[in-house]
Amino acid sequence: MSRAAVRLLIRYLLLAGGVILLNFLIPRLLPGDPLHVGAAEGLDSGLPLPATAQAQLRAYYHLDAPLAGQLGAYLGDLARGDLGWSLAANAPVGQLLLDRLPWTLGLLLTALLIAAATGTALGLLAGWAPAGPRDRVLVALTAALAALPEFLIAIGLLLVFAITLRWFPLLGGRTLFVEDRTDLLGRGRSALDIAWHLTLPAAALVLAGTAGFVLIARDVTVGIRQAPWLIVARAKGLSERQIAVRHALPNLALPLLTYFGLRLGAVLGGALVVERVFHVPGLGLLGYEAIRARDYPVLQALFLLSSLGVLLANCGVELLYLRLARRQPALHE
Amino acid sequence: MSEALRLAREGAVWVLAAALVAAAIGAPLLAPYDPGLLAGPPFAPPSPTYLLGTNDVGQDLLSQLLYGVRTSLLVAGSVALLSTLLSWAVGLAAGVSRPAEAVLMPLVELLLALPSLPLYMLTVTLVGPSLPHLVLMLALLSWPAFARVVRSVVITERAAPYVEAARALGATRRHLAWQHLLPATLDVLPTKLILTVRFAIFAEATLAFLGLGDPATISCGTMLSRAFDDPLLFNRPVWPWLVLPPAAAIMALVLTAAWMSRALEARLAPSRRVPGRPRPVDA
Amino acid sequence: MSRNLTRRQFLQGAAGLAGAAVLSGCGATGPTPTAIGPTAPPAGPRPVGLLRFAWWTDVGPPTPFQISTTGPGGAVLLSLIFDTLTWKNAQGIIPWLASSWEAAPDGTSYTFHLVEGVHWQDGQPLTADDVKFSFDYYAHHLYRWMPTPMVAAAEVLGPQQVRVRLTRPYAAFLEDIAGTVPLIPRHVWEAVADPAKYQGADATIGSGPFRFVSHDEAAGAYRLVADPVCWRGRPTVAEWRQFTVPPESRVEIVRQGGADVSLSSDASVRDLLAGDPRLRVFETAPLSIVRLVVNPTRPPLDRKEVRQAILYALDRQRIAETVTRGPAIVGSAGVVPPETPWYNPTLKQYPYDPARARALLGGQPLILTLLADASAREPDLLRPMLAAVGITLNVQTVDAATRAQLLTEGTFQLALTTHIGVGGDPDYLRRWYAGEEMNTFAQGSIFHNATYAALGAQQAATLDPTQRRALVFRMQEILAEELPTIVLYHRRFYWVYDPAVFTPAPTAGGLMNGIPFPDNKLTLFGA
Repeated sequence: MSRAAVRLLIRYLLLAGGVILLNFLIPRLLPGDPLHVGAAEGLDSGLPLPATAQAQLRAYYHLDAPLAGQLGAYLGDLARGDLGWSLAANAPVGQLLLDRLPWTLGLLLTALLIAAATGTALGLLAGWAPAGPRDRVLVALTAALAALPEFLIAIGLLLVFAITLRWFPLLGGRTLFVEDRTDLLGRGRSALDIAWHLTLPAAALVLAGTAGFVLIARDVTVGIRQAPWLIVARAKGLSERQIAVRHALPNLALPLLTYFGLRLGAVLGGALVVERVFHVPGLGLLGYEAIRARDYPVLQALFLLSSLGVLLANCGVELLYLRLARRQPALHE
Repeated sequence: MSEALRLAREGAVWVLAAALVAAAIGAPLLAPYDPGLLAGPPFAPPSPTYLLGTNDVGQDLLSQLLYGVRTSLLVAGSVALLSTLLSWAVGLAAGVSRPAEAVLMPLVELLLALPSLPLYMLTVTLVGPSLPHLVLMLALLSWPAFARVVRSVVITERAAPYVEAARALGATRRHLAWQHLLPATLDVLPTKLILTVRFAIFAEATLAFLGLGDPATISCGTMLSRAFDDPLLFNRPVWPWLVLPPAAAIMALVLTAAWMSRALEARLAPSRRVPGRPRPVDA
Repeated sequence: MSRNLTRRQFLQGAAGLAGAAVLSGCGATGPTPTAIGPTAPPAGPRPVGLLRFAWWTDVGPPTPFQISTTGPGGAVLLSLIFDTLTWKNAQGIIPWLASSWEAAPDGTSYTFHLVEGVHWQDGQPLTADDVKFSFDYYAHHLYRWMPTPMVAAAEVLGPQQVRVRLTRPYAAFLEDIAGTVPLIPRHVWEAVADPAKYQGADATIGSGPFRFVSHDEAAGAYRLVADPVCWRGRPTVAEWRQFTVPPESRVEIVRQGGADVSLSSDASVRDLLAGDPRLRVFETAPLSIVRLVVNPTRPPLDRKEVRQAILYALDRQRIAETVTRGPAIVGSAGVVPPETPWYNPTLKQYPYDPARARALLGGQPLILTLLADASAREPDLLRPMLAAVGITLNVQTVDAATRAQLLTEGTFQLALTTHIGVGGDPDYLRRWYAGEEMNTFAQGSIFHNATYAALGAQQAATLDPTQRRALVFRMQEILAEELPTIVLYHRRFYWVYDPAVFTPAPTAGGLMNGIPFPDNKLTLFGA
């Protein structure tokens, strides 16, 4: 493994450590004490917490030990894989997260990949003839979409496609109570059913996430259009299309890859909100319920896992970047 | 695009921005009713008495919208100011002082690497969703991106001859920072402010929709969250008036902020944009 | 949706075939339903393959010891799996597992004669031993929805005869205990020491029309299949499913065919569905109460004048009409709803009179804190009305479970709650303030008044209707004067349903202890 890769890994390990430490520090550094907020009546800034929940949280945060002891206990819990016990759902947090993770992951990855592909294609189209009518329309559309928070796009889709046209189901990740047959046909049908349910949520995320990719791809394309090597390629008689695909596209790969990594966190956030709108039983819905019930163990675990997940993904992206950058000669300027 | 058209478009953006801000500031005067007041029957359609109709308990939607825009801009403005201050302080400190850089930059990198929504969900639930807390959290978690930009500007400027000269003349680091480096970074200031405004409007609306808005104040996000709580929302004939105005307001605010930032960027720092480098589209 | 229809058609066909098979083999070995007394079931509904009931939350594992008490959904689900000694129809109490009974003159014991030939769902016979065991077991391990502290012991008098002895006469026994407490099989539970944690597959064996099949906690989804050899007859619904639907989709899901029964408390569903050819709306009596629970142990609410001022300050008619979007049923200060048999019409009531409120407060501004659910709209209406008389209302939104816990702990000033249970026997007036109420939404009521408590105990033991009525009336007078709870209004439940699949039935005073649900299991049995 190259030195650069090793340095990268070390950097990410340190970041992961930072996340773990941050997860420990957040409840202890924030102003106010969530456990005693309800003790005095008439406080309009604080929300009361019942005694049973206080006792449970006290045990979860190991508040009876000094700070160093708390850190030790926290790290010990993590090492054992013990993420605590959910206040609202009365089940181990780890189990809850594991049950819900596949939905969010599926939604997230599908949406991100489609957004990247679509965005690149559209950005290429737009940037190829900058300031032309196609470019202007695409940029305007993109800007309009980028101005809408994901939940608005999701509500719009829900309204049009699920309620008015009834082409897609109203809610859920799958049709309930369908027996899972393990044979191929049953699996296939089950997969189709899930795909049908997740179409609208994924579409909302794609619409929300494409904007950035379009703009990046467009900017890069505009930049390289005037490059000298491109003139040479044109002089050789290659068609615009061939030039775009064979020469411009690879140049887009690296900036897009970087952007892909950057967007991961944002699309995760979008997925969490979209799940609330469409009632998909993923991490987002879990988080929404945890907020309402002030189920801190779940929220802490959600933060920890999503941050570590994004770090892992970004680490992968950067390693890939290193690989590609090394293999490719210097970017055509 | 012709110069005249571009100027006209820029002018339009500024006018829109001014109108929004004026509406926000003037909300107490412009709003026909107190937004918390039970002004009329529930779900009244738009009429001369209630220009946008009323909501599910009979509060005037237009008044709510005006106050909602006001709250959204208030939150956005406060977050932008606080976040900018933090960005600048950290960026400058990291730019001039090696020890500070060693401590602050890893923190910046850590915060930038994290997905923001789960972090907000945790922190805002912990402190409680009152407006000051919301502003504090959004500011505390949005300063990292531009701290890096400020720092890079500072580092570039540090190498400039006039700075070298000042240092040779015995200027302290503090003096350098204030008198020489800070002005150089002011180019990026308007962009940062406006991008943060855009981010804050987005974030506040999303958080309100998730139930983390301040229940005591009206904002565009809480208006939408409330409408969406109603099980029969889409079956009521007046649902467009409940959903579309706050959605349109959010869109208008964000678009205006985005256009303003582009206009300012084009005007103030046309050379800074390097094609191929990702333009910061978030805070 | 064509996919759903195909599945439903398939199931209907299968049910039809199965039904035919059962009928052809029946008569020789199957139990014959006994004559069931003066009330005949409604005109036989046709067989239905699948019924889907949408609810707002998961109701816990369906055993009497683990069922959730966050609202009545759990107790009603249990009634499909388990049976009780008596039941109710639109007119009143009817025989169920007990075909007849006698009460001792002093009311301290009841002798029940059980229906013959009843079997548990695992095939074992249901005898008087099981009934005795049930009551003995419940003395040590509470039935979560309705504890039985007044039951002293049960004795087996014969194979189908059992006598239940009470520690003191209890007027509400037939309705609230014999009609609510599910009977459990001795051969399952006698070996179980800790029923709250018992996970055995036989924990859900009852004698009711449906057998439990599966429970998915994340989706709040329950699957029950009909027991074709149920003692009462073959249920007309072959499969019953219950699952969680989020509030914003509650009505829409029935319209889209994703569910067959769902609840709305918004009267506009009637107009919404007026032109719908497929769906209907079933209105219950206004037996759901919306009230402010007051904590009279802390100032300033420890002063009666303040509590009364609050009631005068509220235009409850307007609140009710705005929130329910239907005709308002303003609550009585004595809690028992108007238009119910136990309502006291001579009570002091508090019409909307802000001037009087201001006078009572003496011009002193007050600040009060109200706990409410995030989706409750009443606080928006309460705030300006109270502000007009000088009371600033701070609203703290907490989720339902937290609110229930805070109420039980007494960590609150005012809390807004809404729940069922006020249409049945009036013993709930005593239970609320004696700390014996199990519905979490109705808990947390605080009222330390010796006269009231004495009256409560007395009316519970008074069997003579006239005397009991006088006592209950007196209790309402005290409530109306002291106002430990401020009743805002009453709601009807509007059940949206598909009549091709579901037959709703009104029940006198609501199912069991006042639950206004339309799924009375009587309608499940054909002629």
